[in-house]
Amino acid sequence: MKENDTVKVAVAAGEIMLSAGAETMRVEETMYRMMEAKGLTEIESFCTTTGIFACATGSDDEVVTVIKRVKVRDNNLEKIAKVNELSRCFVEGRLDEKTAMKELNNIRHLLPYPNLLRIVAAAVASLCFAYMFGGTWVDAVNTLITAALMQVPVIFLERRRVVPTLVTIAGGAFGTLFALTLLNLGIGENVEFIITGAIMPLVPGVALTNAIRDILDGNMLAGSARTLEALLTAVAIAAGVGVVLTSWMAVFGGVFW
Amino acid sequence: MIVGLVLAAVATMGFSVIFNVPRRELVFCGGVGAVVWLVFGIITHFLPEGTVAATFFGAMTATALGRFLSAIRKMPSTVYMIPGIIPLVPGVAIYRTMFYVVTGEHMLAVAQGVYALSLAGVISVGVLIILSLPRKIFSIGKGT
Repeated sequence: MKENDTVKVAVAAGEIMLSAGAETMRVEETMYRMMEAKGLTEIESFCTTTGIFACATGSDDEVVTVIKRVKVRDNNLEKIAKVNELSRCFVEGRLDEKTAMKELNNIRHLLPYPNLLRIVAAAVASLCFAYMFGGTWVDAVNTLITAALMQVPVIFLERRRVVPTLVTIAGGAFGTLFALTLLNLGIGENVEFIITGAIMPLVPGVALTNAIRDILDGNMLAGSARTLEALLTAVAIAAGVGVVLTSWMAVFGGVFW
Repeated sequence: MIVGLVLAAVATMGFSVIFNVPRRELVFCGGVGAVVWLVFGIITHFLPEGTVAATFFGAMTATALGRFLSAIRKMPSTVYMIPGIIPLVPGVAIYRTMFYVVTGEHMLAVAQGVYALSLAGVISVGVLIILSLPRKIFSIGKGT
């Protein structure tokens, strides 16, 4: 039955977007438009941060419902952009269900930027932040090295599917450790700008922005969930940094040994 | 100032890579970051105590640019907005809050914490105001 396929394609599109970090309103609207374009009626699409529900009535009065649980979550704006483009083609009738599904599978397996590039990007961004926050160039160099080294345990843990909060704590902890070590080896002066710059790549930018959008769209459930996610990430960073910093100061009696 | 703008652009592009922004949009994301930092820099230059106001207008700028670019480049606005507001995130204030909690100076921690929260709050409000404007405003020059 054709209606089945349409709903399945819509849900697959929604799933990819949601797990790539799209806001719920975008997911709901995309799925709605895709189903509407293929002549389904009484369409309902509902989405929270962890699941998708879609329901529609086909031509022979049969009701199709699909529920999809979304587990893996990361930030991949490219996937969102690609699905967005695909859904536009689909709605305009330039794609049928079969090709759309094939395309979606390609998008699902789209590779993120290579790890090395990610490390370099994080390191360079952190360097810029350390300087922008008010650090000196020497501080910035420390931040560059710290941020690059810090990405290694972060990527290692992420690959092993460790709980995201734990990864963030580890990131903050390792970042602080490397920053303090380098500081004591004579690179840098202002510990606060170094550590702040280095932990910037862990900051919950996507969660925060999406939380605002979800709440504005009246999707309070997803909005509060995302606000909580952003807060939890911030607390996790602070915990990671705090633990190492306190231990360091307890052992060496100050920032410098 | 110029150095600051270049750094802001590079930092934003770095974040865009972390967030997997499509290759062709990286430059635009960097541009948004630079403009946001310019707005922030101009306001804090004339109002040295106006970090909160500067953050507010910076967030509005990032969102507005995101929506304009979204209409022009036919991309979701999130692609530009998320990296764009990163330079405004109150990293130092959050760090100081944590630092004072750890060192037991709780009054200072509360002061920094409230400051960090107010910065996060004005980012939200700035983004919210621009997002709630009707779509038409941002699609000039493109017909629809």
